[in-house]
Amino acid sequence: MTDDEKTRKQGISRREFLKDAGLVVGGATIGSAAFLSSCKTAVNPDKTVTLSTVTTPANRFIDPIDGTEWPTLGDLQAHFAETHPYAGDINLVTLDINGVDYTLQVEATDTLANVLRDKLGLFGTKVACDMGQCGTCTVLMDDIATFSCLNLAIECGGKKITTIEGLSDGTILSPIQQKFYDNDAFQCGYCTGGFIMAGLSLLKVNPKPSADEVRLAISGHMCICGNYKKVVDAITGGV
Amino acid sequence: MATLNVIGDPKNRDQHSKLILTGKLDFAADRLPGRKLFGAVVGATIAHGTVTAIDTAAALAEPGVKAVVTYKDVPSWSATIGSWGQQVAGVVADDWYTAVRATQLIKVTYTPATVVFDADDAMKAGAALVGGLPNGNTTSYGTVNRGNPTTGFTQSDVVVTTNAPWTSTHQHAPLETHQATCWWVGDDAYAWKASQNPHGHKASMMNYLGIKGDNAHFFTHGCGGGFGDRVAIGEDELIVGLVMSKKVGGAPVCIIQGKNNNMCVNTRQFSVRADIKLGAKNDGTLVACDIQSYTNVGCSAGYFSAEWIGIQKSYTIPNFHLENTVVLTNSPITGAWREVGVQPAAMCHQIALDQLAYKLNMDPWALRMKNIKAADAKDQDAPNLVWGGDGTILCLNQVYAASNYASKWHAPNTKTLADGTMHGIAITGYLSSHGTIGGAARGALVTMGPDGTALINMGGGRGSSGPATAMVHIVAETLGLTYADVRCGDWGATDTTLDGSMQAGSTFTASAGSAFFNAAVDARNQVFASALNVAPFASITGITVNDLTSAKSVVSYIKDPTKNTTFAKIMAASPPIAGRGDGWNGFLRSKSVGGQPIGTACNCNGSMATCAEVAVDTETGAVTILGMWNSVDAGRAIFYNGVMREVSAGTELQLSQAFFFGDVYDTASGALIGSQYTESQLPTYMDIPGDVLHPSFVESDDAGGPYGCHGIGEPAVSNYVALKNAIFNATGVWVDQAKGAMSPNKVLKALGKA
Repeated sequence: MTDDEKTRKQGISRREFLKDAGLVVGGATIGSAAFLSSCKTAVNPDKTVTLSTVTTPANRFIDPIDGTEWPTLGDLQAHFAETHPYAGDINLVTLDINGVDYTLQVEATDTLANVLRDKLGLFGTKVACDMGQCGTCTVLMDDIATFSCLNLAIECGGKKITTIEGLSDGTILSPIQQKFYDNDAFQCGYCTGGFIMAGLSLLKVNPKPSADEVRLAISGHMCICGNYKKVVDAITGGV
Repeated sequence: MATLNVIGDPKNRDQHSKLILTGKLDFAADRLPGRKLFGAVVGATIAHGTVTAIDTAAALAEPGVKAVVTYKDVPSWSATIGSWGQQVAGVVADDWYTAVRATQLIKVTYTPATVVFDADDAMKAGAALVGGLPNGNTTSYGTVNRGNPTTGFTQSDVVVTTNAPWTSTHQHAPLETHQATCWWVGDDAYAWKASQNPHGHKASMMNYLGIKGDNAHFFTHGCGGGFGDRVAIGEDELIVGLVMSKKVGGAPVCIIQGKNNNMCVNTRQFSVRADIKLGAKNDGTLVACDIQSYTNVGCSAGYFSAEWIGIQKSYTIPNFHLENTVVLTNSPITGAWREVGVQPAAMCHQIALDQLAYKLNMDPWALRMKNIKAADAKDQDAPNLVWGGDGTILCLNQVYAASNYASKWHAPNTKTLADGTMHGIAITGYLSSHGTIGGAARGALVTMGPDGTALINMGGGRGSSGPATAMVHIVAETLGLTYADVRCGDWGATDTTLDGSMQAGSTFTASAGSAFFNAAVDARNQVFASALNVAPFASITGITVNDLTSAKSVVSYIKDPTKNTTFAKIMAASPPIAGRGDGWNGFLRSKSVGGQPIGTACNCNGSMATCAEVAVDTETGAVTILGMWNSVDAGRAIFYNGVMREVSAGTELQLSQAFFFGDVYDTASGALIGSQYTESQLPTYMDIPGDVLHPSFVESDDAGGPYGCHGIGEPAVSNYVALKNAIFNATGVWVDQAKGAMSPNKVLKALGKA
């Protein structure tokens, strides 16, 4: 029995593990069927999500209480309301992330960071302090830099959310990413996405910021590697 | 220095740049969305004692909880508590927040013992025992005896004794806290986490879990900060994660240490105190040195202590004595930190040198230059060894010139600036123990593709500075390929790479670099052998591989360079080629230095110098940095942008250390007070005066390492002590460096105003 065969019997192969890191395609991201099932997550069937290089079975719509599966989101919602009339809201929220609408079932306590990462696989958004101290988890919400660890996902419906994955297709860098590249403005890379998003937010309102304006704009961010000067250089003067 | 085609080219960027900038560099928790369980841990609420009982019933009853583990399950844990926060139990749950909530339901009962937190108290006769040592709380970490210090001091015209207080201690505070995703398949254990030493972590899996190498699978990609905190010391998440996974039938468990756990249980910079006696002639010639050194290593004996190479080897001192003592306390474990042992020692001996200089009415810079070890000087303690280069001198000269020190230095407390602040300036410089070859890489592979490009798989972790990119440079240069024609494939996966040495600024470039150098030589020889079978070389009578050379992806006939072809054409007709090489055991002399022949062993290390210029407001204690010049000796800079990035980062990091970092404890209980990033006082962008920082490096044409490279000492910078000496030059008072950074309050206290 091969290693992958042995692994598969217990639920995860090394190949699957490696594959699961690469779910981001063309700016849109979606979880695998197993993920959708275990997280009781549904994806809006009205939106087309291109998954050109990822083999993903059809979306599944599963009742979080009785585990029954339904062919469409509408069927699930109808079943849920009929079968569990006292269960309250199914906690569905539609999140506009990188131009794609995702209708998800979330816990009331799920932060946006948590949903981005562990429900949608958008791991470019990192979590460090998990309490608004470090800026690592920054995304754009309606073009404003926002700590995703401080926002509940259920409250983010109707907002236009942009994550680091939404800036490029992964091969051609966006202008601000290119400036970070040209300035070597990263070290370990864990905080870098947050800096880029904060810088982008600044440039949307101030296209040619001075170094002091940049420092002020990103003063809520931390980098333990110590790469502050290069990050300031990357954003100063715009792109 | 020879002109090279790839090495040192500032146009070359980190090969992982686009992964980082697009958010695709994957870290320990960045896999398996929705398909993994989560683990959280419980830290002890005493600093010394024994766990007598653990009640996990309430945690197990919490909805979403899958399992609990205790010290009885985890081979790297113990019922004996040595420091606050030591891990004793953990929870596996559907999500991390549920796991954290459930940890709060675990009831741990302790039998407390006397907490010995203060290192001075720990050394007193009759002090309660921390445990871990057979007799008392101290042990020797080595002595050095050279010449006759007693006679040396009697021969000295001036003798100065410096009682350097305890240096500060601080945690790495990585933004990616310690975390790992672990699972089992039958007897096979899999782990995915940040690592600077993947094969070392695999060894930990084997040792702690009693499994064979074939059953241990470790891999890593991203490493979110750490600077030595990811090297298989005190990293419990790996073993705990695997035990947790075992408890839930092998399912993937992502264990995440929250900030509090992370700050409490993982390694931190230790604290050092020293009594230093220096004797010199009136002209500044050093005659004797005696050092009594004490290192508070917390509750972890044996890993590291203060290292005194910065004065022992950097400066010519005929009579030298060092007693290096390690002290155990009930504070958290200590371990690798950037320039772990060298830097706190330098915070003591570089002050001592300034104090001696001022006693002699000398410019401290002149004292250093008078006594700095010559480029080809023999090792004072091992006469058969000669040091490889003159990096320290080069660094000292560079910061001296760049800062215009000669026109700025003055006697202490004598220069008032226009705004009423006091001006100060100081230079420090020394040799680091880091930067050498540390633990030979057991192998490197270079695979030639049919298109003539080369691929390397690196056994080391990524770290932060781009070690894979440095290896690509060495391979490209050695093979004669362009930078673009060599790629780093996978890295840090123990199943698919050879043991690639530990990734660290102190060792990796030369250690793994020597292995990749040899692997590239092996591959090049095979490519040349294949080249003999293709045009135009096939038609040249008597040609051998020794008649060929290569550069910029072209192989040429040395006697007639117009006869050439490309790697691509050679490999299209060649059988598969893979070059393999082992790392060197130590530096080999690539040029004759000090009369020692080429090819013999030599010492190579990182060196550095710093000039700090400050303005001190004696009413508020505020210190403004007017200029900070750092120079680091790279030997030969392999990856130009990587070196610059590291030096720049090191400059900022130690600036933070000087003015911001500092763990704060309740000394009675041993509890860490303030485990958040802000409470650990990480600086913000408003705190770092980027415009006045001037990081740089020198190339010393060193005698050893591939292409004359060595590590840059992680990188070695000496901002803290340079700033402290500059503040003295400004004010005439020494700021206490104990228990944290040099805050304005400490400056005022030194001035007698607080």
